[in-house]
Amino acid sequence: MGPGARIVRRLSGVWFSGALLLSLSSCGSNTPKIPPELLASVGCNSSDYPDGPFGTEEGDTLANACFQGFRNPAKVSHTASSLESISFADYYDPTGSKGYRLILINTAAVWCSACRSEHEGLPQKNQEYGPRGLRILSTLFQDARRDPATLRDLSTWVETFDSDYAMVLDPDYQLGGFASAETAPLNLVIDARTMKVEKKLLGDQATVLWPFIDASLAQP
Amino acid sequence: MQRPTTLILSAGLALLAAVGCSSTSDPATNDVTPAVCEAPGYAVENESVTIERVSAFLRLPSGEPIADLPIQVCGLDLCNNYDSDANGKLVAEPRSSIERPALKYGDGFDFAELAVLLGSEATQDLGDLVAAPLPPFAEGAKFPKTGALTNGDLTLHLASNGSFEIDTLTYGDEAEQVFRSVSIPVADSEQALPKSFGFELAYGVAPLGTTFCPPAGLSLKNSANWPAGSELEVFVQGLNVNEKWAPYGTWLKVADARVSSDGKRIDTTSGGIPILSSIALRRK
Repeated sequence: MGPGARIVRRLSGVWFSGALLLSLSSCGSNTPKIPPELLASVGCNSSDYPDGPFGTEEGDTLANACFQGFRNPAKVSHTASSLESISFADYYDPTGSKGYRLILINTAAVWCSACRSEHEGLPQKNQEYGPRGLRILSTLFQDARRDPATLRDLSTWVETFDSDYAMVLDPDYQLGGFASAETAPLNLVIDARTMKVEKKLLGDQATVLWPFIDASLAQP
Repeated sequence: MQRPTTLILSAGLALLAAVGCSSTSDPATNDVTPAVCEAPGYAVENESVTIERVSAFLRLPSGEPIADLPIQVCGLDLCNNYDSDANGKLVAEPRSSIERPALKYGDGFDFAELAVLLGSEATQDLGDLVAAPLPPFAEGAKFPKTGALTNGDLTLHLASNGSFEIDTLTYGDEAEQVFRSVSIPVADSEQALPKSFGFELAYGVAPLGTTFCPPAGLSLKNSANWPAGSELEVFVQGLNVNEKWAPYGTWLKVADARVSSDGKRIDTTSGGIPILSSIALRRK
């Protein structure tokens, strides 16, 4: 991957970066072309999603974003035919009718050994906190060589870690507003009733993250 | 700067653990029960330290600067990516609190990967770091189910009742799933191979993270010209923050070895390589 592509990812706007990546690849850059079906930003509308302004800090409302991935990798084959469109809006639950209280949004990359270590423990956390209203959605954004993650990376990832929570591809790194693509993992705890960012943690800060989630879920 | 954590006490335990795979065979039927191995695990509590800036120069063994070399400042909880610039200069500015941070240079694809444990200073200059290019994938050795495979100076011996697991998440292409090794210039790599360990030979390998059950035997050329019969110790460096097979950023003894009677080769005599990671040897 060329330096140009990395600079583009640092810009990391949602539509902007994806479009730039594609335009660079068509201009002779060695940036790998992201298959259009994996660029899921198209059609990411939800009429009942909270209005902006949106932001990237604690207390801000999370902007909606769409991805392609496996909603529950434990229950589907890890092939293209099982990919589905998954958005943050899917987890918005203002009335509690879906049973969602908190959303843990996590970023991961194959090159990031801290991410891999974190995911070794996520299935257990999902089983522990899922019944209490936590939903986990993790976005895989780069492979071992820092190129955009592919379906093969996603499939191997969920098989390696026995992921039983939503695991999606984010090859154009839509969460770039929260943290640079050069740093991972990122963990965001979102209130499913408001889509506000309750906690933003850079790194696998398990001793902070899980007590926070536990305490939040204990509240009425 | 670095913390040369000599794991003397744990080395014995690790050696036991490394060879602590259970396997049985019945000579009458030639029935071999597959070996079963359990990762010992080396995770301990660590303090986080704030790393503002780390600088270094990345050079080839020939002295030439390396441009665009992948580098990470990565701890148990957080990883940050960087590249050396066109002149081989690295300026990494994590500006983060990181648990057991290390600077890892080389990526296990084009260059051997080594780790330098970082100290608690906010700003650190590591000086010159020498990165050794791995042989091309096409020159790598495919893994047989059992038996020996050789690349460069190193030969791995896979047990007949054993198994191995390649990290296919990292090395997804079959062409990348081949054994490769390269000699590391020990005298020029003090940051990753602290003098306190007394290493005299070191090697970078790939595919990193490949695990062997039981641990693979190791043979290598006696390029240090140690006398015949010399007793040696074999170490691996922990490059993975999950610390299942080796403590992150430092060296763990995994085997004993001896120089052959003709002085040409070195062979492990007990223990073995549980995980493909950078390898170093020293005399007892």
